[in-house]
Amino acid sequence: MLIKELKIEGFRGIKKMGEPLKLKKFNLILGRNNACKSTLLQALCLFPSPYETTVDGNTPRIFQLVSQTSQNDLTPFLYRYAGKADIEYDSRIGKIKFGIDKSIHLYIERQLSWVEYGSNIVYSDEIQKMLAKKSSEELNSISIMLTDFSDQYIEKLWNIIEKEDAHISVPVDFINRCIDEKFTEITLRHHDLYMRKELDGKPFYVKFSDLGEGVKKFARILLVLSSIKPELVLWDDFDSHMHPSMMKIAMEYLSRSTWQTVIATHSIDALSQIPDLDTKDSQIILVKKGSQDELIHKIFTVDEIDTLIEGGQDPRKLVDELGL
Amino acid sequence: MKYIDHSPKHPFVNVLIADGKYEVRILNRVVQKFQTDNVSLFSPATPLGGQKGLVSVLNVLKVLTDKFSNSNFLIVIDREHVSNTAQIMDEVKKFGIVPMDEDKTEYYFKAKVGQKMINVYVTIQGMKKNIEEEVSILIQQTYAQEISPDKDKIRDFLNTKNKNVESLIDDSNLPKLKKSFPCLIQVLECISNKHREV
Repeated sequence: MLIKELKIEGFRGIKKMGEPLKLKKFNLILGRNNACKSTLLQALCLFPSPYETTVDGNTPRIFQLVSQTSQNDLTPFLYRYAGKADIEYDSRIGKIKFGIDKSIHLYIERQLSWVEYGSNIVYSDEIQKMLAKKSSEELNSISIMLTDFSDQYIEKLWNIIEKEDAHISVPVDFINRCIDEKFTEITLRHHDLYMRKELDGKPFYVKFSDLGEGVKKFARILLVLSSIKPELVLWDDFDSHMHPSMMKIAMEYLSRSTWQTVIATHSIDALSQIPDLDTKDSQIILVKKGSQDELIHKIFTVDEIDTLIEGGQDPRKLVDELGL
Repeated sequence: MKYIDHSPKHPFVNVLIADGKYEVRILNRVVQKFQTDNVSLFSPATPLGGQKGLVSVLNVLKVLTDKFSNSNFLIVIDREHVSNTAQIMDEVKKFGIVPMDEDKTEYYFKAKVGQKMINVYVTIQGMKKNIEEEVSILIQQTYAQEISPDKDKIRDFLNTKNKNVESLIDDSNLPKLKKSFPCLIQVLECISNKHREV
């Protein structure tokens, strides 16, 4: 498991946290709108370094998190746009920390004290060794924030996708289980992705861009994950465009894979699927922003959430009881 | 008194309903007859429904007690599941909840969960079976007609009067409701009085 614990202070809308957030292999975050669910995912996404790029981009991942005019402007990451933000991770390689003010400060804990790395190149080299990654590309793909990946990015991964047989397993083993059509393969033709199906024994190709939003998004995510195999998968607004049957298959896939997963959702359907999953390494985190912008959270086991839902209680509304 | 399903503010009582949405509809309207703002009833009901019965309610009571600071709970349950509060006091012991004899009444008991003290209010609906029997009595009082205590028959009858169960309650005063929903009204009075004392 990549990240065991997360501590945040002064980052985005979070002034401080009541207590550090302990993570398990499969984590589902619930909270009202603007309760800083996305901020938690963004903080996790910056591991192991805000300077690493995302898998499908060339700019440092910290600058891909917010839309802004200046690439060097770090104020959107600071609580009330001033002061200093701290993000601390207890990870499988030990404790690392970033401080963000007008620049980014990188720290690794050595013998219970923090060593600051003045240069990102030195830090990155050190982290690469600690995580046993052979290249900066491998380091970049350690964690992934799931988004609408482009056909161009998937084309770059196509050799691995074919090697992994994902172009066949994605439609046959996953997509077909949550739609009414039967696709046989995903193909890449003239830089565009197509789904292949058979009608009366004859092949027919549907362009990806003509598919429904949910299918398109889910298929692309599955292709990317099956090829880059990250250690940490982050998925914000998990429920958008997804029918409950697709959510169930997505959650089964994510929870049974080797990586750690953190999902943010508002969906009662996603919650009600949780008891069907492996419960030992899973948890549900209810979050709420307190009156002083402190992040309050409470962790529930899968069994506890199951009990509440079976008893007619909606855990999404129980969030309101946090901190009272 | 208000019946709310989100954003509770202290003091509030977590409502645990052992049966279905029909009880929610009734409770929601009956509480509005209490002209007091000193406490609200909080019922974050799921749109998915859920299991019915005492065990399910007590499982939820245990989780909520463990996880949240609120210490006031109202159990709303039909008589087909349980005949009196003493039976519930006996049953909670299986969930690590220790009921106390001090201050107990027909509608209320205190209990200890670890170091935490909780107040449990109880309303058992129906003379023999369920809350529909009490709605039938309200119809009898209002229209002088005997309607079988069956949800569909009640709905069909109220349709003929251009009413539903909510408007039937809205049109009834507290003394009249006390005759049809005696247990519910008494427990709401009990809750209201306890919080007035505070």
